Amino acid sequence: MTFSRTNHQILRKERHFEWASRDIHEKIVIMISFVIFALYSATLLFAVLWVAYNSLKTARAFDTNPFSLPDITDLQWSNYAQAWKADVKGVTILEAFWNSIWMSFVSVVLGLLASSMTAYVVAKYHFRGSKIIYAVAVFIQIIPLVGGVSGFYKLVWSDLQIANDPFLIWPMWFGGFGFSFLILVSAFKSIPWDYAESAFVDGAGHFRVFWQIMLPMVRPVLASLFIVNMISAWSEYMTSYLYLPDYPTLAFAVYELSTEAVRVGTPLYFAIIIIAMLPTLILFTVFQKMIMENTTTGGLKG
Amino acid sequence: MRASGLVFVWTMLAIPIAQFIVFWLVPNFDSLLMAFQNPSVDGLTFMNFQRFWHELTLPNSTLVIAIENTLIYFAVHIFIGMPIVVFIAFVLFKNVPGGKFFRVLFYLPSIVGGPVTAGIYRYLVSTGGPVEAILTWMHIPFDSQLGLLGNPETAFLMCIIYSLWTGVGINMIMFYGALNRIPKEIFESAKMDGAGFWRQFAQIAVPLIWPTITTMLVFLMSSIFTTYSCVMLLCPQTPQADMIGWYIVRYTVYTSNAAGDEVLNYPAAVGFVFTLIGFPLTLLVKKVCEKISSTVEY
Repeated sequence: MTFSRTNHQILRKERHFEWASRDIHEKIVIMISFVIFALYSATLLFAVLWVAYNSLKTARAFDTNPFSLPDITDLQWSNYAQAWKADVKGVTILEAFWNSIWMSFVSVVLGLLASSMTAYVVAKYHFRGSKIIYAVAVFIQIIPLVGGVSGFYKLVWSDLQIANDPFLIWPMWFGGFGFSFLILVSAFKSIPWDYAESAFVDGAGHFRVFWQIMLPMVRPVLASLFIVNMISAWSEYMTSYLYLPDYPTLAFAVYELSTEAVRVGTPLYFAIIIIAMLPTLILFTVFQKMIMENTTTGGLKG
Repeated sequence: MRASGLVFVWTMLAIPIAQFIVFWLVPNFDSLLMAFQNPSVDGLTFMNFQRFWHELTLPNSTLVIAIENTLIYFAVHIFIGMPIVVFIAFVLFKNVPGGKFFRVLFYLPSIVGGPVTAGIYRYLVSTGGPVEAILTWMHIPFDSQLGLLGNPETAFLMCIIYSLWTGVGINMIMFYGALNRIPKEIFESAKMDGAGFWRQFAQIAVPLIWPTITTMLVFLMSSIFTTYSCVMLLCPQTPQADMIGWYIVRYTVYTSNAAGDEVLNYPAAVGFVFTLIGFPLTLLVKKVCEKISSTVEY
């Protein structure tokens, strides 16, 4: 959906849904809904603000009164300095932060690379099996396989013995038939083949056409998939839990500490929570429009 | 196609297909096999299923609790959560004041992710937190010894409330997007014909976004026995708050850490049973939803 068309639609909609032209039922429902939405929003905002301002208290001040605002003359910024050094199963939060960065980056880039390769040939080449590949990819999105985790666990820990190794685990992320594949197939399909045709005439090989001509043309789709996948990879905790226990991500650290936050002290734990959510909040604020539209259209094709 | 093209195609596909075989096909097939194996006997056996049956018939069986909880969780999400979110999307679509703000804010919990929202929620409902303050103010008894999550009676209820509280976002965006793809003229002409707010909702909006609703319902159904994040994040040690998805992961991780691979057979068998139940269930929901949409005329 192009930018101008979206704006145009919104304009049209605003003209159409004039308040005065609504019937009385609609006005009442809208007003009641507004109140409920506001209340629900208040719980969400309060939750974040409560955690944020309590992260600037001393542990004792929190225990005395968890609702009062922190003493403005004595804000405990030191909680944030200490948070980086807090320990989760022998790993500091700083190290966990680094684990989150490399793990989300590597897993997302590998996944997108594999998906671009598979999606490109399935979308652009006619060969025996391409329809089957697409059908299988759709099928595994909705098939409710339940026991797979046991087999996967055995595979990673004892058959392949790649668990708990920050490099050997990489092939696990090189999956080319997931959700990104389906999105990229339709992205490649919408690009005319003429560009490739003329490049072939000029003597370019198949791989060069893919890498230097076709791939750059789906850059907007790749970019939004990258952002969306990075955001969900950032809160990934099952990988650490199941396959890389010695490399906890920040999200996993937040999970681990939630049951033993007494040890580190509540305000310090809140500071860790704030640190964990800031990167996604920043990404979301910057790319908000792109993310929400991507979610919408993703559902269309999924 | 020329031969060079074919070589290129299969070069591009070779590694991802190998990856798919090793990391998807093999473990799933192996799980299936493991369900029928047991280290104590050679060949195939039904031992794991006998144990499953035995666990089912135990008094106060945790397996039965897990099944009940799973059904409750999904009933709540399908019959209460989903309709509410469809309605929220429709009201947002109708331009409620501050709609853009609400849309972004409702989506935030999905953005910051489970561990963070659960970490915060845990403190909101714990002893000394704001929920206790509100309940006390309303004269509702609060067991400050255990807290709401520590009390086995209320633990699962708190998990469900958490999943509803944080789960509005993605579905709302889907339905809102679907509503915006409906041509505006349809609503305009309906309005001219005198269709009020409720009729526009029930007879235009819902039927026209029914394909999206179907998709989301099918996804929900297909995850019925693999959903566990709220339980894992909030009360992993409380048997009264167990769900099938967590039951299987729990058995896989805890017992195998303690005793090596052989005990993976039981969770594999449990998974197999629920795959057998979940697969036709998902298909059924898909068929029923499609049947409904084919009878709607517009």
